[in-house]
Amino acid sequence: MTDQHSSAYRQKRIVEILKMLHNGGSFEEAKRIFDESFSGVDVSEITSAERELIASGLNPMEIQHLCNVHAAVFKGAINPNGAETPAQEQPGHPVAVLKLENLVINSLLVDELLPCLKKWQQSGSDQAYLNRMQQALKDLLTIDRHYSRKENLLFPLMDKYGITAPPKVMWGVDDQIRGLVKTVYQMVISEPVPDKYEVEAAIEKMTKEIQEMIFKEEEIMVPMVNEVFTPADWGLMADESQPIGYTLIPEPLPWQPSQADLEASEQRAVPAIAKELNAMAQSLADKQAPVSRVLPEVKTTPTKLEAASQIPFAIQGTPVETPVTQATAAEPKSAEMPDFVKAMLADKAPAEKRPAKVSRNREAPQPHIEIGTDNQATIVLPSGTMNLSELTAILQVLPLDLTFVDQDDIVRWFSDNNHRIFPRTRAVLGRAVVNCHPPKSVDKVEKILADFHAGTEDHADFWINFRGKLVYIRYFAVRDPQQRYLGCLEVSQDITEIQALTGEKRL
Amino acid sequence: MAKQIKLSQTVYELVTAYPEIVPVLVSIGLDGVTNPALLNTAGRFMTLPKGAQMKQIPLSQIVATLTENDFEVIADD
Repeated sequence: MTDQHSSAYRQKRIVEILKMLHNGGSFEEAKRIFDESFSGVDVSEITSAERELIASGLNPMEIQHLCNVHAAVFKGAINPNGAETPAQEQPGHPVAVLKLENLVINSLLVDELLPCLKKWQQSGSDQAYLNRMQQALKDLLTIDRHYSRKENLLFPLMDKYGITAPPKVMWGVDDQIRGLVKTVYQMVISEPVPDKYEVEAAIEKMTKEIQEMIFKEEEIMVPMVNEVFTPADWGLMADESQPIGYTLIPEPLPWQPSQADLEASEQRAVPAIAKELNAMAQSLADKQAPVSRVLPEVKTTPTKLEAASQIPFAIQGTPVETPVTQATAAEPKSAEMPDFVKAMLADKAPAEKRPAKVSRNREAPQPHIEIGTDNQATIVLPSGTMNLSELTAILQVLPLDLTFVDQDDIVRWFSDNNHRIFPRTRAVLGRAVVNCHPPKSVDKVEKILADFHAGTEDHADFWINFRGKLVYIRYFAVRDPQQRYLGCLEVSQDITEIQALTGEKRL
Repeated sequence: MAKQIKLSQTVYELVTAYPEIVPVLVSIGLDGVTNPALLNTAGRFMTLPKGAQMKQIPLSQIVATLTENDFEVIADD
């Protein structure tokens, strides 16, 4: 075939393969087409076709994807038995992405930061090496995204399978590393730069921690989750990674499990280890939960007591197998009533105001759903009606980021407007909210929720500087007209521009 | 007789068989073994060679420490 030997033909095939990969085509299929198109073609011919494509405007990054395919085909040729590339080595698979980032992070440390540190120390005070250290550490700050993907996507899934302790411990170490990187970066950009040995010690400690974390992720965490994760779990993680972002690598190719893998996993029996882990987590939860979730005891008026009796102590995760962290309701303790509760009881005003509000709305319809003859549901609220598509669109348009945690402290829903300040992923749905926070802030989260459950607080407000924005974060207790606690709504908003408004702009 | 252990055993297996090995493991930096929830999960995937690599200590040093503490590291089958 003379056709196959023309450069135009090769370029066309290359573009076809790249397009296919970008559209989420299977990696095996890409390999097959590559092999079919280029077997017997000299590598130099392929690279010259690639060069021509780049010359005509193709992003050179794209060629990297092709290299992955090429390498995999080559590997298959050397070892014909293992012709199929394992899922976790395919570009875009969350494990492949995690390992690729680790490779780059480690290289940034050992090939750039440490050599520059050494030369800077030896040279006396060479500004060029210091500049390179500053740049390397600035790049390293983006390790935050690598950890955030793990914490917001992988940990919730581990949680679901009863692996709860390792994520908690690991999250603590992640935070420690984030702190170390920030500290070291501050050191090298401050004037004057602190003592060289101090900088060296800090960089070495940071490097050691990061490398240890890389090892833990790849050698302990990945083998562990492989015992329990299904291809669909990896698919979810791949799907939801983009909003959080990546550390020092371009956006990976879309990856999804193959139909065959999905079907095979449905047949798969629950691995023995998953059962063991679940049983273990269950027994630990039974032992620990009453201690870890001490809510303030409230001795109140009968109505409040009634409400309090409905405070769900059970953290009902929705695991695939058995509930993992099902805590038994704590025995009422004869604890002394906290002062703020006494104060709340003395001040009955809020409790009396609320029923009045309800009675004002007596004319309004009870909220319900109507199914029309066209099978369309209409949501009837006390102040008007909406259909489902309107409701969905309205929630997307709201200039606020909302997250709802139900009465059992389980994350149930978040608004998705594609530009959330703090990205949320579907992986957190069904997860106990306390497990969605870094260990250092868990106490505060528990306190807020305890106050909401107990009815002693109705909201908690915070404002923080976050990536150059002023973010206003408010938590509201959501209650029904009978004052029963339904959950907690988190409302966050970037108020930078609102704060900067002056004068007026009238309609 | 010295207590026999293999390098292929996980720290979970080691601690289950010989609870007295805990201080030795802690001394080489594998302090996670004192947390039962961690031992029962991550501990099933951690081995002495992995620990050595992670903590960047020579495996021979770990074996020596174990020998001092009356453990005998025997060959894997």
